Amino acid sequence: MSYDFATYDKNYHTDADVVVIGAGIFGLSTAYFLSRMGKKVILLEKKDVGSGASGSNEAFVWGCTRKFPVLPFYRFSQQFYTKIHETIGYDVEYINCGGYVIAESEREMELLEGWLEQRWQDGLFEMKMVYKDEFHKRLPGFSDHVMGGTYNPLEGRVNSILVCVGFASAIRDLGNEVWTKTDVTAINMKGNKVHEVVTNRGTIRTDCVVNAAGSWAADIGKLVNIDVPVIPNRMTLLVSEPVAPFLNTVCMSAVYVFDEINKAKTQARIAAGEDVKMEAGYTYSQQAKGNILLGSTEDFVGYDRRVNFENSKAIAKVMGDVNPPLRDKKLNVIRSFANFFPYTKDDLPVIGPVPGVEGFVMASGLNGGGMGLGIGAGYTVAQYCALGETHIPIHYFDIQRESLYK
Amino acid sequence: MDNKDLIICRCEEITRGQIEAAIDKGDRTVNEIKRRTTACMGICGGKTCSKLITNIIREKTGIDYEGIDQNNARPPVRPIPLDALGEGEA
Repeated sequence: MSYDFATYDKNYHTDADVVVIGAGIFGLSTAYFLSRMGKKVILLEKKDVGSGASGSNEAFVWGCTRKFPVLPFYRFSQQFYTKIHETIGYDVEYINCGGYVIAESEREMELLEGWLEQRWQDGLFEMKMVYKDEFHKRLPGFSDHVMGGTYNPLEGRVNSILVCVGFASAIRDLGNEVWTKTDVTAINMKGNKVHEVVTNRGTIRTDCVVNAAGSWAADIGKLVNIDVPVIPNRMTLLVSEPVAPFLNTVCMSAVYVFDEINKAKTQARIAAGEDVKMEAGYTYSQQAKGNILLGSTEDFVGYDRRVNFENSKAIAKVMGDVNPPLRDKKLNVIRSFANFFPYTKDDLPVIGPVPGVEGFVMASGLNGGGMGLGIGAGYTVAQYCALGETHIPIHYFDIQRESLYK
Repeated sequence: MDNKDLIICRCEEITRGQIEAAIDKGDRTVNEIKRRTTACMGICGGKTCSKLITNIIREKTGIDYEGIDQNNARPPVRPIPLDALGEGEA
């Protein structure tokens, strides 16, 4: 077994072609594809595999709300999932169930119609409108006020924890190492090139370091004196008891697509005297075991991971309003969790080289798109590290682009 | 009955055999085993099985109790119906 568990020896020395920092979906898939390309990789993780946002999210394989430049990542990931069990050797409970963005008013329906045409321009030709009668015929269980929405047959659901565990196991099966509970304390330079990664488990000599630390990417950036504009966006979800299949689909509300709708709903909540520090929207998916993931709220609170009562209450209210049968049947909530999506100002990740720090490669900021985009994004970063060029263009994701800082 | 068929996590019906297989794959903390098997993710939140799992890790690996990280506790402490939570009457 290649898994090195026992040693916490600061004086241990080893080397690697590439050191990847962060065992979330982005770092895991980067390390996996580099392993498949025959590189010696060491993947470092501060806590456990998938202990950040990649292990606790809505479990969507979702792309229809993502911006044009990342859609190739989505196409790659979606295709990879269809054969992932055979390819990496682990079942991750993927289903290609299709997904909806739902409209809760005439205005939202109008906005979605216009938005859909833009999405076709962006290449998502599979998407289409589903109007009220057809929508309720397809999905009994929605409140009458739901007007329909957009349907994208490519969307799917996965067990996000098993995706992380599966990739980590596959990396070890390929003979490479995943070091968990490992703190990166320094990145030593030789001139303007990365030279060594120093950890509490020893020092790794390498010429290439990938910063896939997600919401913690700024901390790793500091080690080489660069500013990484990625900040933590807390997302809270509730988990229900396992129940019989309710809706065989994944959904989210138009709040997550249109600022206008988000603002209007926030105003309504202020008027109702509610706590409005968070953004609350509807997200739905059901795991293979039957647990429903009820979402969600998003807020900016630094690194406070606790689930608070206000957020849980807001989610329970949204769910009951949109899917009344869940409320009427007194569905039990058994768990809740919060985690941090790596947020960037322009909703695009930061990927690629960093001027002035040769050998340091950014790979963070998927902002809630990790399950849907992370495999394609990891493949792209692996290509960049191994070959110096990529199939999918990465100039959109440059760390110096203006839209990151405005 | 084979020892391996003993149910360790009753809520999620996870057996000793499944826990041991996770340890064989390299898992060494209750959280890691939770992620791989869903033990501790059921309605009791691991109140019973986290201790049993800690014991199995110790038996199989020789790591001390203090060296075995426990699972994250997640609210709510006991199941709560969606309607009660939505009305804030929890």
